[in-house]
Order: sequence, then structure tokens, then C-alpha cells
Amino acid sequence: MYEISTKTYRMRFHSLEWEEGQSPKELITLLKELCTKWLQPQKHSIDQIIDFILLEQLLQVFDVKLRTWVEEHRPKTSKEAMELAEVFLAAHCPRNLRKEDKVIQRPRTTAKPTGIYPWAY
Amino acid sequence: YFCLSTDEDCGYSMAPKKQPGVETPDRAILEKFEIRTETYRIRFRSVEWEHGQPPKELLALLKELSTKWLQPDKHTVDQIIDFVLLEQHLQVFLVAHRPRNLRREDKVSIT
Repeated sequence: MYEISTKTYRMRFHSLEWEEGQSPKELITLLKELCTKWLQPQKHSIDQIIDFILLEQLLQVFDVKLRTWVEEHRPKTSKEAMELAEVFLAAHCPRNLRKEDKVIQRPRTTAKPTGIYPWAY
Repeated sequence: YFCLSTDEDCGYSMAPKKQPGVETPDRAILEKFEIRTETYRIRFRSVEWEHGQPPKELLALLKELSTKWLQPDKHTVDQIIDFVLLEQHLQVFLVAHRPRNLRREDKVSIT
């Protein structure tokens, strides 16, 4: 039996392309359907929904190896994903978790698209 | 550069609606620096992970930016979903209509 997970809806929502001849109304209806099936507003609180959006972006920021590994463990929250990332990094790059590591505050630069989610423009 | 603003009194295509006598210092400062939720949205989507940055800090930054973009204290669940929807809708529109991004397999015809 093929089970469509929320992850599948999320991926489909973000990779949807406009078909030639499709009306804007059809497009938005389809997008709305996929978005609703991903975020499931009837089941979740506003904080949970924002966390789903946050989780997705966090995964997107990870490099491919880390993202793949974290996703295999199916994190349900951004906190879980972050903790998984810490585990991965501790195993692969122990130096990354030194207390003296400083957070680098990047100055605002022009945005660049990343991967299949070219939101920044 | 598309700017989508969720603030009622700003926007590039509309004249700002000013209410006389209701100019708070905070709003004046925000307008001066043109900080809008759209700015936070772009910053949220542009975050990159610096080598050596602890995941906790990365998450905290993303959380701050997403909160400033989506403003959960001011909006309903449906409105939040609308923001995400609008963002994706615009993205699909841009990808479909930006000529230099056309790939051979695109079906858009140019007449």
C-alpha cells in the first residue's frame, strides 16, 4: 500500500510547475490543496505550523549529506532536526561542537537561490 | 524584485494609507529603514550555514526570522498558510515567466 506522507505533499508543493494552458485559478487551487495536505491546519496549532515551515528551511540550509541523514530519521520538529544535526556533527566533525565556537553573524548580502527552492531573489 | 507586504500601510504599488496623528516612533523608524515582513521573509530564505556554526544558533536565527516574517501573534493559521501559498504561487509564476530561466523542455511558447 502506498502511503502519501506529508513530506511528499511538501515536496510536491514546492516543486510544482506551471503547466502551459493552466489558469492561475487552477494553479492556486492545486497549490492550496498541496499546502493544506502538508501543513494540515485542522490538526495543528499555529506554532506547530510555523515550526513545519521552520523545519523545512532548516533542512534546506543543511548540506546534502547532513540533510539526507537527518531526514532518514524523520524529525517531526525543528528541535528534533537540530538535535539530530548535533549528533551527526559530533560523529563526523567533533571540532564543530567546541564551546569556544562563535556564531558568525553574516552581514546582509544579496540573496542566492539554494537547491530546488529558489525563494531568494 | 517583487515585494510582497503584509503590512496594511505600505507597498510599492499602493499609496501608503497614513492616519493623521497616528505616527508612532516605531513605525517611523521602520519606514525609514524600509523593514517590512518581506525583508524578513527574504532573510529567512537566504540564511546560510557558516562553517562551525552550532546548529542551536542556526535554529535560533531561523526561528527569529520566521517569527518576524509570519508574525504568529498577529495572524491566524489561515493567514499564515496564505503567506506560504502566496510565496510559492509567486515563485511558480516567476519561474514560468522569466525568459532567461527557460529550459528546453519548458512548454511555454513565445509568439
